[in-house]
Amino acid sequence: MDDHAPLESTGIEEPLDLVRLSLDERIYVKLRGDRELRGKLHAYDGHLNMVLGDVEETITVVDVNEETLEEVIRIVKRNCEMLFVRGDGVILVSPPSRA
Amino acid sequence: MSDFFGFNTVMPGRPGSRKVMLNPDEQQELDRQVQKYALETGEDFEIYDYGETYDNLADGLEETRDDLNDETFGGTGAGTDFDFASNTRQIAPALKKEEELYIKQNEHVGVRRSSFASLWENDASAQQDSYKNGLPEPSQAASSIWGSFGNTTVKGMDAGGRNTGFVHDPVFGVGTFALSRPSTFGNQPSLEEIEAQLLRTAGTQPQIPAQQERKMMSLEEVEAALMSINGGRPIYTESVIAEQQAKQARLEKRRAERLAKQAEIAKHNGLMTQSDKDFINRIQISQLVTDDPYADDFYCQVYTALRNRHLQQMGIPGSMMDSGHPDNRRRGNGRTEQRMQQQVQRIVSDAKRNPKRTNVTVEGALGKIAVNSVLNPRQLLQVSKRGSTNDVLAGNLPKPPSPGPVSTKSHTVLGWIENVYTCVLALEQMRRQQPPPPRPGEEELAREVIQQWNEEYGELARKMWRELRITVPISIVHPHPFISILNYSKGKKVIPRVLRHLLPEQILTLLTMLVANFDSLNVCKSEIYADVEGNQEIELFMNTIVPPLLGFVSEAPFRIVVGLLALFIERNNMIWVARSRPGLAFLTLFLTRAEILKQGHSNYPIPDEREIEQWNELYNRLFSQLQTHFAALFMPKATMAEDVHVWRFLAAMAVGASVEQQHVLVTEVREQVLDNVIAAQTSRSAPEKAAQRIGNVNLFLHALGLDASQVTVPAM
Repeated sequence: MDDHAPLESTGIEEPLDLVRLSLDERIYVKLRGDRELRGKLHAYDGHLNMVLGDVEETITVVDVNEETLEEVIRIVKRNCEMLFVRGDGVILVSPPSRA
Repeated sequence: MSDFFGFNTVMPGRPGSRKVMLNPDEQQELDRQVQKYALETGEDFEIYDYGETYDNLADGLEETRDDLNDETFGGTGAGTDFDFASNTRQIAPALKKEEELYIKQNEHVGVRRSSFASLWENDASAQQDSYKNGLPEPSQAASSIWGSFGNTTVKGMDAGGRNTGFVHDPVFGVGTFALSRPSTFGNQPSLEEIEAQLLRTAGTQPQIPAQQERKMMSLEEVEAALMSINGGRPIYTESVIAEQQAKQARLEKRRAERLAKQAEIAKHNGLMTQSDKDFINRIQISQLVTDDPYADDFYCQVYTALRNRHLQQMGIPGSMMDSGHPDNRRRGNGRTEQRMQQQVQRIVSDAKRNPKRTNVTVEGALGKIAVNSVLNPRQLLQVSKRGSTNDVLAGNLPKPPSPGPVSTKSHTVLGWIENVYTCVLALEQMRRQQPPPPRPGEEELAREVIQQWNEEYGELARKMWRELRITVPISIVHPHPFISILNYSKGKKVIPRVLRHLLPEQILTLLTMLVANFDSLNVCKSEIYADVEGNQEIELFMNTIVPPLLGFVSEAPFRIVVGLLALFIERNNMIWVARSRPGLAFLTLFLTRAEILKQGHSNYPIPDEREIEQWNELYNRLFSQLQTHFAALFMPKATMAEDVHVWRFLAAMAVGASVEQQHVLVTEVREQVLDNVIAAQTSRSAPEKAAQRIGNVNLFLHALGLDASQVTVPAM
């Protein structure tokens, strides 16, 4: 009755196990097309398809002025209550920096 | 009239067809052009006499071995007298008469044709001569029916292949002229003529084709008809007409495309029988069928259950899987659906009968046939499992030595939580597969099954218990591993599901551990009230952890309540804990339970004097710790609803308090009582809010034997 599992063991064996740890937590996802997501991970699968809640999407747009060839970087943000992310666009998944 | 009882009999290039239907003017024009062409090229059309151009190649063929022909075809020889016509000859007069009538009707056609045929006059007459010579002269009428056959076959035989080229000449289509030409002379009826005759003898008019023709009338035709009625004056401007024509053309094109598509599809019609289709269906459905839908299709199952409950509440019977929506579906699909359901049932029962076969060996087959499904897909990669890799690494990397104070990094705790979830899910799955109670006569067998299930279940429950790490001794790690788990929202959420699988003594251990480490809970920290997320965490704690433990404590004996409260007071800073909602909730819980047991409750013995004494001592310790802090329990800027738990706690304190203690209590919270009563009386707020304020205050005042109505509001 007074046995307990060792404190160090976490059962992490493969990369996706790390993603599992972030279930129900807020995560940061970097996507192709200069997009970033921050939201709560509700579900994922082996393709890194994900369902995120309370998402803030950040899109970085580079506008090139045709005459001066000057590049203007613009950041567009939007919020979604629930978002399905298709895995083929995912570059990076990480816990948000706790800074 | 190009229809033969509605069938299209138009042959290419045939003068009778509508496509080549020319009015006399055009015909003359054509004649003129042909003559002009003849003059220009210096060619006489008569040179296309195939008798002259034929190079007698057939004569060079070696035709031997004819000596056995008699045996093959019968000794008498076929002869040329094919007496197909003898029967026809008998009704020849009648046929001829009718034909003449018909020709009279269609005289203009005959006139036109004769002019066209005149081009070929010389050649044609030669033709007729040639076959007439070889044939026993049939009657005129008989030849009018059989003549077309006679024309080609007899010519071919008679002239030794001389006319084969003639018949098939692709340039001028002479062959078709040759076939139809005789009708120009009134002795060979075309299909139209026969049809007309038959219809006439039947005494009816050709209605079906006429109707069809009417149906085919396009918009333009209708318009033209209308215009002719209106005296031929155009109603629409030209642009409108052009537009309509374009539209018509588009429609026509689309229709043609659709028909072509349909024809393309239709050529596969009937390729598969119903049993073929059923077989394919079975293969496809069997990929999706599972005998354990809760494990494999959890979300669908839960969604369906929730949805059905919702529908039933709204008074709509039926489930998504069983009946569907009768109003949404066409009736025609009913049978198909029924068949589908039967198939699914068959597959499910099959799957249950032969569980977990991954491959089958068919007798006589080379190799095995893999039975793949969604759950058991064909394996494409062979990744070596941890066993092999770890064996290699084990020699070089011994287990990292565990450092003295174990750090509880976030991902470590998250890993524990996931392990707990894994166990909980497995346990819930086992619960669903619990063997049914034994049927009479099978007790022995059932007992074995139940025994085995109990063992497996117990093993899994113990594993979950270990993963919770509740039994880690206090003060090895700070915060305690179990508290670390509870500091995550998913850790809180799993607790109600965990408790269902725990034994009572395990729940007590859990509660003890929680109480002993209460002030390291993040929900116990006062700064957590500051932000929205913190409030959500508190809400979650109050909704997930407090209710099941409240249920447990409300059945606990006095001794345990005393023990828990003693531990609570001993190990935590009461001022700190009491300022948090969860802490206050637990204090209230212990106080009320103790009070109920002190007053004597049905199933529990009234605590003896020693226990009462212990309790009083504890109470006094708690009171003295909280004294001068009672007013501080109220959250600054808290709404009334958030105040309820404070009033409840004060009420619980007041019940067990001595007279002096009650006096202290009233003095300390006097301000709050007055504030609420004044706020309620000065109707600045809605009546129901006022009632709630009074209700809150009364929770406390009633415990003292007072009432809000007795409070005299001092003059402002």
